[in-house]
Formats: sequence, structure tokens, C-alpha cells
Amino acid sequence: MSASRDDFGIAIRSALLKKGARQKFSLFFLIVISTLIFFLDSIKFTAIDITRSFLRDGIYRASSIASSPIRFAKYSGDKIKIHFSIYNENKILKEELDRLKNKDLDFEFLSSKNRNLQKLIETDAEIVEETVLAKVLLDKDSPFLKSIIINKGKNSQIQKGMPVVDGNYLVGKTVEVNYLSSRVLLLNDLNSRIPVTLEPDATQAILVGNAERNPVLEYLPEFFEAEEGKTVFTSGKDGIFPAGIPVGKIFLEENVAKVKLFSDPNQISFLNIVLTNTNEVESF
Amino acid sequence: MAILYKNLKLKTLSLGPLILLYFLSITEIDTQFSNYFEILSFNLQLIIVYYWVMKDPSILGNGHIFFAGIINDVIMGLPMGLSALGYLITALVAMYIRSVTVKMTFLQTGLLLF
Repeated sequence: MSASRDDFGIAIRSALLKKGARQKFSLFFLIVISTLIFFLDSIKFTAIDITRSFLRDGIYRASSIASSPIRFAKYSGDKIKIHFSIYNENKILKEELDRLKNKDLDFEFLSSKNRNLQKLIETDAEIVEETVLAKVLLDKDSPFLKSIIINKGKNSQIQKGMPVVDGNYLVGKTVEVNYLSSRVLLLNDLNSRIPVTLEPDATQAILVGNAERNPVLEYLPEFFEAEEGKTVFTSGKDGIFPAGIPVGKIFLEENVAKVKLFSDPNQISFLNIVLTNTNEVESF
Repeated sequence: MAILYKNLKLKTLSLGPLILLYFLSITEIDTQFSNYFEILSFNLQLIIVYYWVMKDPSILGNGHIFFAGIINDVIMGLPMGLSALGYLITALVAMYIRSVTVKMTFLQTGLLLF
């Protein structure tokens, strides 16, 4: 038994400390360094923050270059797929066109919706801010984390917590800002929580990311029955997002109210960062 | 000349796993295949580290494993050092198994299997 314990000790010691012919560092040394970096990462210290920011900028750029052949292959594959599916698409589009032609537009509903939207825009008059156009550098898929890297950072006056839109539709907010790049937390990320309002009766709810394509509506009023097709806007109650940014349409899946986002998080190439004042956000 | 060419070819081939490890860490390829399987998820980098440390530890240097982990953390937005630690622990386990398989007892085989 003691011989077995000795063998175990020798094996562990050998695995940890043996460097081998081509190894420059022992595993033990590197494990200690990794643990140290892991703890240093959580410390808010200017020198560490600057180093971290420059390291991230460099790696993001290198990653963007390294990913370009893959992106090109994906793009070519998509183009070929689109080319082959064009016949079916045409058939579907014709059917949809017929359906739309036959649809009787409810003018009253539309005008009521318009009135409500006008109200939202009026309350929002002072939040019409300048935006910065940014390109998506990286969009790495992960089972839980849904975020993208954009090519604008502190050099373009971007700050942590700024809302990010694709056209007129909300995409997420900035959660990490480096000098030349930033990370945008998408609405379907597990950590995303956005206060929203449902038109036309201005019901308040929280849009919760679930790491899937369509986020869920939570904290709805008691006995509230969600109706499919209602439009969801940001409510601006948190003081982070301006009110009235369209987010998506409600649909029901197994009696759970989900939101089909207007902007598909997997198809974003360019987006705008709304340069809001985030001082309140930081304190929030 | 032939020996030189053969050596060069061998060196280039031996760099393959290292290049693959860096490539998977730095690019936006989904190495966890989260979109393909409903409940199954595995990490390609960990498999590479485990396999090559078991097969030939001189091909994947410890320093390279550590650096690939740091790159992966930055790209994935994870706390820095977390993936590096994971890869190094995987390398440690692989190295340990490699060491004990030389003179393995029946008990150790059982423990490793379960």
C-alpha cells in the first residue's frame, strides 16, 4: 500500500515539475501564474486595467485577422445555400405576398399603436443622442455567453453601459470598453435584464436573456395573458436605456411569453452605439 | 539535402497540433459545438491538450498551453486565467496518467476508469 502511495507521489511530482527536453516552464509554475492572473483580473487597479485593455485590443485584432478566412468560407457557403434555395424562397414569398394582399388592415389598431408610439417618442425627446457606427469584429459562439466584439472603444467616446442598436432596433449594451474595441452584451445573454413596455396598454415587464435566440418576458403583472404579436419597446425605467427603442414581437412557446427580436443577434455586421450619458449608469 | 528536407517536414508536422490549438483559441469558431447538440457540449481545445500531452508532451509546450488559454479567455470574455488553468490542469492529469501507466496497479486502473 505504501509503495502505491509512493508511486502516486512520484507520478504527481513528475507531472508537476518535470519540464522535459523541450519544456521551458513546469506545469506547477504555470498553474501558479494562471491562478495569480485570475485573481489580479478581479482587482480594479489602473495599471492592470490599462495592460488588460491593450492586451485585449491586440488579441481582438489578431483574432479578427485569423477569423477572416473562416468568415469568408461561411459567407461563401451561405451564398451558395441561398442560390440553391432561391426557388423555394420565391414560392414562399409569393404565398406571403398573397396573404398580405388579402389581409384586411385594421386601421383603428394601427392608429392607436401609432398614438402610443408618438407618446413614447415625445417622452424621449431629449434622449435623441449622437450615435457611433461600429463594425462587428468577432462573434464567437458560446453556449451561455452571447456577446460580440466591435471595433470602436474609448477612442470613439464609447463608455460602459451604452445602448447598442441595429438600425432602430435594440441589440444590447456595452459591458467592456478598451481603447480600440468594446464588448457588447446581447439581449439573449444569460446576464441580460432589460426593463420593457408592451404596446398598446403599456404593460411593464423585464426582458430576460436565456442563452437562446429568443429572450423571455418575466415579472409580468399578475393574471396577465400575453398576446402574440404585441410589440415590445424599452421602457427606460432603469435610466440606462432611452425609452421607446423597439425590441421585438411577443410570441408564445409552451405558455411562456418570448420575444422574437427585430434584430437577429446572429446576423449583425454593423451596429450603432448610442452615446448617452452613462454617469448615472455607473452609479446604478 | 534529403535529411534536411525530412527534418524540416517532421518539424512542420509536429507544429500542427500547436497551430491547431492556437487557431481554435483565437478564431471565432464554435469549439464547444453548442449549436449542434441539444445537451452535449465538449471543448475541442481540452481534447487536443489531453491527447497530445498523453501522446507526446514535447509537441505541446506547457507555455503554449498556458498562452492559448489566456487567448481563449480574452476572446470568450471569461475571467483571465480561467481557461489557462483548465488547460493546465488537463495537461497535469494527462501527464499523471502518462506517468502511472508505466507501472500501473489494478487499483489505479479502476480509479482512472471511474
